[in-house]
Amino acid sequence: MSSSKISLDQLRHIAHLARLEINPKKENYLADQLSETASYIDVLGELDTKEVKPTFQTNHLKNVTRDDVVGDSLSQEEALSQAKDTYNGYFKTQATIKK
Amino acid sequence: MELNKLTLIEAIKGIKEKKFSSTELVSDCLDKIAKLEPTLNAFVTVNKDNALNQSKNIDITKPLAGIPIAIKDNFCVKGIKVTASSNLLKDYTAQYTATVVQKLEDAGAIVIGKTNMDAWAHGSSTETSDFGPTKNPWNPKHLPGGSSGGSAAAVASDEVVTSIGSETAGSIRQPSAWCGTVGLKPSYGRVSRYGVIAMGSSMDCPGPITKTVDDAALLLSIISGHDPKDATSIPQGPWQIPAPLKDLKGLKIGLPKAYFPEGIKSTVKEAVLNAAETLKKLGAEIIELDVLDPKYAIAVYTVLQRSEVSSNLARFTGIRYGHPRSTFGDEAIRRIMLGTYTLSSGYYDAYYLQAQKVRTLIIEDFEKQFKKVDAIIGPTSPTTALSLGATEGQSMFGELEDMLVEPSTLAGLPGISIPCGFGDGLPIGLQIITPQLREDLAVNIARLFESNTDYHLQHPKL
Repeated sequence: MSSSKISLDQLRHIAHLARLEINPKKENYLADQLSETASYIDVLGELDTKEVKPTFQTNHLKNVTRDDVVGDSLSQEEALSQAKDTYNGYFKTQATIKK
Repeated sequence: MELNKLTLIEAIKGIKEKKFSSTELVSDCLDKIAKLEPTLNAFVTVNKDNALNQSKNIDITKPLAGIPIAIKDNFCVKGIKVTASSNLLKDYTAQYTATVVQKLEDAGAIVIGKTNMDAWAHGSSTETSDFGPTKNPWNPKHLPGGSSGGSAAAVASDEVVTSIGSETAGSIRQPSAWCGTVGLKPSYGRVSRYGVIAMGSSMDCPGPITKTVDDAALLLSIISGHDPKDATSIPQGPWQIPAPLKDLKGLKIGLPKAYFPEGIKSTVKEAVLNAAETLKKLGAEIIELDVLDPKYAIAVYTVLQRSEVSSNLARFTGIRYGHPRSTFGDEAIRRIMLGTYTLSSGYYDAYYLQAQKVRTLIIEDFEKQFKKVDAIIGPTSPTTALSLGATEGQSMFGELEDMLVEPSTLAGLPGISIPCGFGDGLPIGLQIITPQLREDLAVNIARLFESNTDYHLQHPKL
């Protein structure tokens, strides 16, 4: 089991992965709280699970699909109705490629 | 007339027999809501005008004709705000209706309002709501529990006759215990998750929070059943209300020693042991059980829930709807961060995969126990309602409060919490856990306990 102490570098890396901006004043506090939780979950390492298969879903339904038929869906107007910023009937996002 | 004080079944009967109208019932509930909301804050949105309008035009042949119902604010209802008690979604209007609500509306029910909850259902207190905490009707200086604290408080205080909540681990049962209501958490997949703002998708279960066991059974029979819009929905028709049992003769009920942990409140322990005695008098054989230490379930739940949260909340970018990610509150940030960590490269095997394996051990432990007994009972929560402010700075508050409901949640089992006593004027909950898809047995044991006790007949003085 890995060490449960979460460093500030790790914290910033996780925040980047999660696309969250952490207030620098709160970084230490948050790292401490995450370390506290992480140290709690370290008990998982106490149990021998070498021969145990993971359970991802408790009612064991697999590969559930539906017939490929067209049904009702939101209209373009409804789909756009809650967006703060739209353009010509599209959602407006930030640019992902720099010029 | 205070029709709001009726149970669901009494209200249905009264409307069908034309003793009063749906409009009178809705009006009485709205009056009570107006009177108590300054104290309780159980609602995020009250659907006053719509509810009154709908009450004037009902189809009396429907099973829930003209019945107002409070819905937790993580269920989408087309045209009504759905916030999950978060600033990020504070002005978001649902564009479609959750399957659970659709089924209720098809049965004639009227959505009277959307109830407060821990923001994003992250908590067991309703104190992490971005719109302020809900207060416990038995003592407004105390928490109602959570995350469905608004639904439980609204029912306990008679603001409404009945409600719907949702549970990931404890969020129906624990606020029911703390507010003195009945909370029925169905088997995973029994009730559709479509249109419910996702928290921990492999555990989320909508379910009723009500005044009586029969009320809960009736609502479950209406909201359950296969839904093609939820891929984890069990391919079975609606759950059928079982015929009542006369007694519990021949039934073995397990009492796990580990469900009375160190630090459990003495009044809670005493009430639950008394409840076991009552069940024994009704004919059940009570058997002590050695179960897997709940500390492992807490750890598994913490990893899986945070991981699923980080994935589910990734969609909230503020582009298609809602506000930017900077509006997430502290608790959401803590959970997303930990979940991103446990899923990240280098940690996945040690945390996420290991947790899913220990989950298998927990399921196997329940299978072993259910070879010895038909049902398992214990306290729903190790304490009665804690004071406002108890969650401050507690990164594991919910997990520790919910330690006795987490094992059954992880195994996808059904459970019901019913009132079984009081400690210092605050309600105590007894939970009954049964094997997967055996809600019938949980309901029947609960019915017999309820009809032989009077805890559910007591009301907070507000």
